[in-house]
Amino acid sequence: MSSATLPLSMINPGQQAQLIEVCGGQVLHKRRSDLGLSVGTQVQVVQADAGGPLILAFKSDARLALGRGAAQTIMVKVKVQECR
Amino acid sequence: MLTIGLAGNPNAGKSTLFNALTGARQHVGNWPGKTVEKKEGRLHLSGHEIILVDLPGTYSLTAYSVEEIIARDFIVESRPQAVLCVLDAANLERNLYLVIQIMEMQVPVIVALNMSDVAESRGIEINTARLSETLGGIPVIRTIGSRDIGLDALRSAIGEISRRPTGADRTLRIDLGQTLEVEIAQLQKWIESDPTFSDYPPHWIAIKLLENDPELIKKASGNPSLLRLVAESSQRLMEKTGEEPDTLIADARYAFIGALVKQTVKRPAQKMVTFSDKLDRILTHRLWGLPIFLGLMWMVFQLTANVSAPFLDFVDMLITGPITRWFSALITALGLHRTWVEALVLQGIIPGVGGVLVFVPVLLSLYLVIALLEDTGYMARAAFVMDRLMSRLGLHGKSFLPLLVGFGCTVPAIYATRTLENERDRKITGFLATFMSCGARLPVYVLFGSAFFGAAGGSLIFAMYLTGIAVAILTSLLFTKIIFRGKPVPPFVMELPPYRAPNARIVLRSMWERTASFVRKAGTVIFAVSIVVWLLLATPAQAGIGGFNTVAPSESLFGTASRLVAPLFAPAGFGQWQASGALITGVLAKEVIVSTMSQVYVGEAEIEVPTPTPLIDDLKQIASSLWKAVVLTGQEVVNIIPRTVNIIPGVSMPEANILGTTTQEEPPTALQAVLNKTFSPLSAAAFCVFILLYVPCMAAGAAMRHEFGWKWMLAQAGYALGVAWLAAVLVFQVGRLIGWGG
Repeated sequence: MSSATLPLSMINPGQQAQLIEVCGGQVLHKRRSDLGLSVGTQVQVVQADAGGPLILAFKSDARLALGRGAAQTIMVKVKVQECR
Repeated sequence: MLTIGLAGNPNAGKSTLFNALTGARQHVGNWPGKTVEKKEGRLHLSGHEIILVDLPGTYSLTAYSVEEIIARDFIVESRPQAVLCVLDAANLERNLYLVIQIMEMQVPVIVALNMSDVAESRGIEINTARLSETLGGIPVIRTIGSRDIGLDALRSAIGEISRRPTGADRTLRIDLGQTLEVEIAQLQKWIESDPTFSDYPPHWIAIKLLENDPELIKKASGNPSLLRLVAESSQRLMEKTGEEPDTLIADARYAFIGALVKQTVKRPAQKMVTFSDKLDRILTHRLWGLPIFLGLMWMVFQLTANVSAPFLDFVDMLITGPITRWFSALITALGLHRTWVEALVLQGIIPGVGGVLVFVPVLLSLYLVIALLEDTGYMARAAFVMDRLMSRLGLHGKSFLPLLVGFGCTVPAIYATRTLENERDRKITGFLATFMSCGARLPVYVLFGSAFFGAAGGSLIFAMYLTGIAVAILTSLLFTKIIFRGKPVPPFVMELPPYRAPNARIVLRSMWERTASFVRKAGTVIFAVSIVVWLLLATPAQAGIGGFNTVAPSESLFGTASRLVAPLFAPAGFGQWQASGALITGVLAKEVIVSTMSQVYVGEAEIEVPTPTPLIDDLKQIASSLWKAVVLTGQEVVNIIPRTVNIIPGVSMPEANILGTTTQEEPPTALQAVLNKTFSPLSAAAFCVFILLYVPCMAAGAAMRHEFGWKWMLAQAGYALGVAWLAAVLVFQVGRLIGWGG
């Protein structure tokens, strides 16, 4: 099993990923701290449609809606399963 | 008297708990100098009284939003005895982030683990004793605010903490890790010797300066050596870790929280697909999401525009009928009949204030629906669905709802911007809301449409709605692409709370509070302006043309002012003073435009002196009208179905009409005849465009001032006036060039 680093916007629905870096502006930094998206957090993309915002699940029961633009600046690591 | 602050994340149930604790003993005002609402309540605890201050809901205590600054200034400056922190038990990690930051300010904290029933139903087990212990022994109490559970324990914890001497807090200092703490300790020494910060906890100031907090950096500007030290510390931290200090600090807090939660919370291992996720698959679906949302918005629109109409008529009847008669009788009994007092009350104050009170049923129904959408959790999804379209305009999805509400009435539309999170979006959306053609402008289009365009009058009406939308879109682009250009669009990051069944108490309370707030604040302004306008109408412009209160409207200050303004409108084709006069009174309420026109064009309408009727007849009339309003409301609810079906072209489903009333008022034909002589079809169209776009009515202006302050209100009114004039002139002049006649 190896891993790849991608922007969050490229993750498919249902896929799990680990947050590694937020490249976005100050506001995004602050918002993700507020909402508990710290580095290392396991996230799962619940829903994502091309061009639109996506829904993220992590830690708590609440879901997070994230605009496309914001999702492009959040880098995550995904596990790539080789036997598939 | 002791003060306790109430803090918490949005959606944590803070308001519910505040209401449950303080009941009706509340005082609502604004935070000094801010447009954010401040609520204070009183709490009686075995003899002494405690003031509970509801702080704005925030996720953290940085200085990025007004709400956050208010919350932390309160904690630092008002020095509450303690802060009661309301947590959503199902989202402990994120909620604890705020708790940690409050504890950093070294104020005693009480934790209410709210909505603990929801957490339990999800299989989340929280060891409260352990949580309390790890947080340095602060009280941790399970509550269910919506069912009044845990309130007694909360009261006794507040009582216990309030008996403690001030300052003797047992707050825990969270270890942010060796790397950070070394730098903090160094800064702390300098901060302790700086008199600017003598009132503040030095450890907290050190953290905030490292976080590059704009407010506190500004405060420290008198101490350049401290700022240099902060810069050096930041530099060292960046070199050591490769991260900005604020990120480091946030991550350190979360590391602490992560460890804390591991010890105290057990949650089901399997990340299950929740009921909310399943619902979201439909409600936020790429294809279904939008139609479902538009369907719901159509219902909201129907409810605010039509279903509340019978009650609007009822209130109108109450004011113009019995209430006017009662005041008239009272004035006559006081011997003031035929004096200026009578005119002031019956023609100035009652119609002016009454004109605003008729909106109450509209507001109540609107706020009911908004509260329902919010409390179920759908509102956040609506924003999600609309984000795709609204982001093209540089706005977020959440801005759509206020704009839609604006088709019903601008006033609630402006208040509906409260659901938006950031100031930029709120201000832009409030600015745009007035261009959505409200229900009160419709009679003007109907009048001119049928007078000049006959059967094609409907097209004029439709064109007006489209023009309003077009102006709003262009204005929005002007804001987001030009005025705010370069300023980054705030990223769209929003929490989607789990869906839940609405709680009747919360919904009704929210509906009532928002309406009452409008009546209180807008009412006072309107009362004052009504008197001013009446004075202008009653005062002769010069000596010798009639006495005070006996002068003809055309010779009054009002008439003279109208005549002064009139030439401005000549390029738009309606330069008569009567038209300007109607526009001026239209500022009071767009509803009065038609009535003013019929007064000044058709002839001085006889001032109606209400004939006294026996009280029993008044009561009978009130009862029968109330009954009629109830029946018609039911009818309007049913009629949503045919109205919705009838949108489909070629389908015509009959609407229920129980009482056999006609909803369309017959336009005054005498007025139409005069208008046909003074207006051309082209100038009529220009006039309608002007009515559509020019300054919002007084009630909307009051709402705008209440929400965004004088400056923004005046800027909006000025802009709207400018655009309206340009658009009207454009319609008239271009129309003439094309040869549509003038």
